Amino acid sequence: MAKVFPLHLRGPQSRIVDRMVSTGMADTPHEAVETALLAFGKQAGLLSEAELLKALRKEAATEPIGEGEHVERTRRARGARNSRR
Amino acid sequence: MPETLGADALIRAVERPDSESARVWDHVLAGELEATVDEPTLREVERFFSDHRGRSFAWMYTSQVRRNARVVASGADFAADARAAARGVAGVYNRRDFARSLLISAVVGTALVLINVRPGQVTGNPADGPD
Repeated sequence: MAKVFPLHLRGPQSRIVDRMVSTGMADTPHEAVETALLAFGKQAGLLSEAELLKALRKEAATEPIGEGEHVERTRRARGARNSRR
Repeated sequence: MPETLGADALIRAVERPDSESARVWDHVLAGELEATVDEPTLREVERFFSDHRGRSFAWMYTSQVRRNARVVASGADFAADARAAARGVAGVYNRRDFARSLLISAVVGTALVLINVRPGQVTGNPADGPD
């Protein structure tokens, strides 16, 4: 159930969003707000670890990765790790 | 005995909800299983999700892993530390050392009692103030 509404942020909330984007924690302000809400939900006890994982799995399922691609991407991530040693 | 999870298992736990890895991670979140993950593995998982699902997704998931698994510096370091600690306990402090410790504490304890005994007294109490 998607919620769409205009969001006007000022002061510290606006700075938090800017910092989340500038430090790379989120790619866009929209993503930053989504992440912040999930983090708040987790911290405030509104969201369990299982529910958080379910949300992540649901998001991943919107763009599924085939088995061959999955193996290749994992190999690439590992390759990057080994090349940094 | 904690389960050591690799990058592939952690990635599959999200990408393949029907996999064995997903079941293992579900048990970890439910507190039924302990998991250990090393930092390089966590970085690999973060890189995978960062590249393919976005940084925020990667951050949310790796934060969850950090909250629910024991994160060690690196697998090799952890194993080396554990082996060194085991060698240290076994090789440095044995039964003979234990006997020596007992003897030393008996000698030091007796000396402390004698130091605090006043003339005419049989035992001394350090809590007693000077006369």
